[in-house]
Order: sequence, then structure tokens, then C-alpha cells
Amino acid sequence: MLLMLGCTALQAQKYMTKTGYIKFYSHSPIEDIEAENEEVAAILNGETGALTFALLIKSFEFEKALMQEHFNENYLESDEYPKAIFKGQIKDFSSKLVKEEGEHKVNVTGELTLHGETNTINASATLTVSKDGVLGATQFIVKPEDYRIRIPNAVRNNIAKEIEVTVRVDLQER
Amino acid sequence: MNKKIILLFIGAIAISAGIIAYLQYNKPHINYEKASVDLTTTADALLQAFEHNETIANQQYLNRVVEVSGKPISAHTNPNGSVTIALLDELQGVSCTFDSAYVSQHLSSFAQVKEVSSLVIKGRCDGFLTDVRLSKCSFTHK
Repeated sequence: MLLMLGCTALQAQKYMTKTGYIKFYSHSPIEDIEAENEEVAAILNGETGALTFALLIKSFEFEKALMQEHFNENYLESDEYPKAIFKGQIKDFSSKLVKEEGEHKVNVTGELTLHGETNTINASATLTVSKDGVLGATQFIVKPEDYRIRIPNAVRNNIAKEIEVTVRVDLQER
Repeated sequence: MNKKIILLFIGAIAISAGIIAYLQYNKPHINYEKASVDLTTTADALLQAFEHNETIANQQYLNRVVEVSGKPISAHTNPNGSVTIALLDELQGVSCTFDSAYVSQHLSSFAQVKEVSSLVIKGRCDGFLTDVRLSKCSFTHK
């Protein structure tokens, strides 16, 4: 039985990257803050449409060193919670989707675990299938308060209550 | 007279605080190429440490400047111009990412990567996904 499961896993078509891109952007009247992470690991199961993203919080790069320091030490507490993980599923997925070249609009739902808190994320996304692989792109909103991220009163107006997250992954078949 | 001195004193403190706040806000990022090494290890030992007990390995290595030696498996140029060199294994080894600015200044070193049996790389340890991740990397022995 284990052998059969192993064979199935080996046969399952997987699309992967370990250099995916995620940016978050906070807009407030006082300042705009953004940070980029270009070392995101992502796997799409081409048979089931299951999606997994994983990233290291310390890999987010800010323009200002001080912001990066506060982000890691005070807000995301990256020593204690070093990773963010999304596990989800493309809705109404068919394995034909990743074989048909062109742009496909899909809906994704899943659980995002960040700073020790897990919440459901629903987002529309685009999968662009080509001979080179599958390019996935999406945007969604996260709220710091949903992830128990405490913003001190002194800078509360500097950070948006809703943070825009942009994702772009160039997945290669493995 | 006393009032004047107090006002001058308060003004001096306010200006000093402003300058300190400005310098802090605009302080530069750490230059990891010039940073001193906190820990020296091999790619094998680093990977094993994270695979054996990630919590303890995080306490030991996270955010530290680590110098690691190991066999390069691949070198991949990322869309932003940075280069990721995988040591030991493409997916379950040690991934070392060099910023684009560093890459453009050391093109000849990257051209030789696949020809050498071992590399010594210094970088900031960001943690473990399927592999150990080092960023802000530089070659310590070329």
C-alpha cells in the first residue's frame, strides 16, 4: 500500500519553484511601506490543484533597514515565527488546465499561517501556461490584526489596516 | 536669564533628538560582505542541524553570518538579477542567494562556479524551508 502511494506521488505532476516573488504594500497618509521576498517556495500539484507556498519572514527586504528591523523583531517576531505557510486548493481544478497553453482565471482558497495564527484566504488568480511552465499571479488583502500583529500606538497611523499582498511564481515541472 | 538657558537647553535636546531619529530612520542596511563571520560550518553539517532539530538550529543559526563550504550543484539567475547557488542538492541542500549588485561585480567568479568541486560562501542564515536558506551571500574564497 505504501509502495502504491509512493508510486502515485512520484507520478503526480508537480510544478515547483523556490524563487517565487511576494510583495506586501501598506499605504497610509503618512507613508507607504513595501517589502519584497524573492525566495518563496511554491508547489502546485498538477493532478489535484493543491497549492503550497512557504516563505521565510527574514527574507523580506525593505528599503529602510530600521523598518526591516522593526518588522522582524517587533511585529512578525521572526525568531519565534520564522515562516509563513499557505496551503490551499484551486477550485474546480482539472489536470487539463495545466496542459492547455494560455491564460486561465482561477479561484484559490486555503489557509494562511503567519505569526502563529491561521486564517482562510480566498483569492482570484491567473495561471499562464506555456511550454516553459506555469506562471501564477494573484493579489489579496491581509489584515495585521487577524494575525495578532500588534502595531504600537506611536506608529499606528503609519501602517495600513489592510495590507496588499502580490504573488508571482514561475513554476517549473519537476 | 535662567529662562533663556532652560529654553536653549530644551532646544538643544530637541535638535539632538531630531538628528538621532533621522539618522536611525535612515541608517544603512548591514553590509554582509564586510560583516565578520559568526559561525563556520559545512553545507552537510548545516543541513543536518536543521533536519535534526529545526528549533534548535534556528536558535543557533538564524540571522547569523554563516560561512559554509560545500559542493555546488547549480547556479540559477533570478528575474531580479540575483543568483542562487545550490550546495549539495537543488531542493534539499543549502541555497545561497547573491544580490544582483554583488553578482555584477563578480561575474568571473560566477562563471567558474560549475567547474569547482567546493565553494566557501558567507551569508545571512534566514532559516529552513525544504533547504537551508542563506541570503546576502558573498564568496570568501575565490
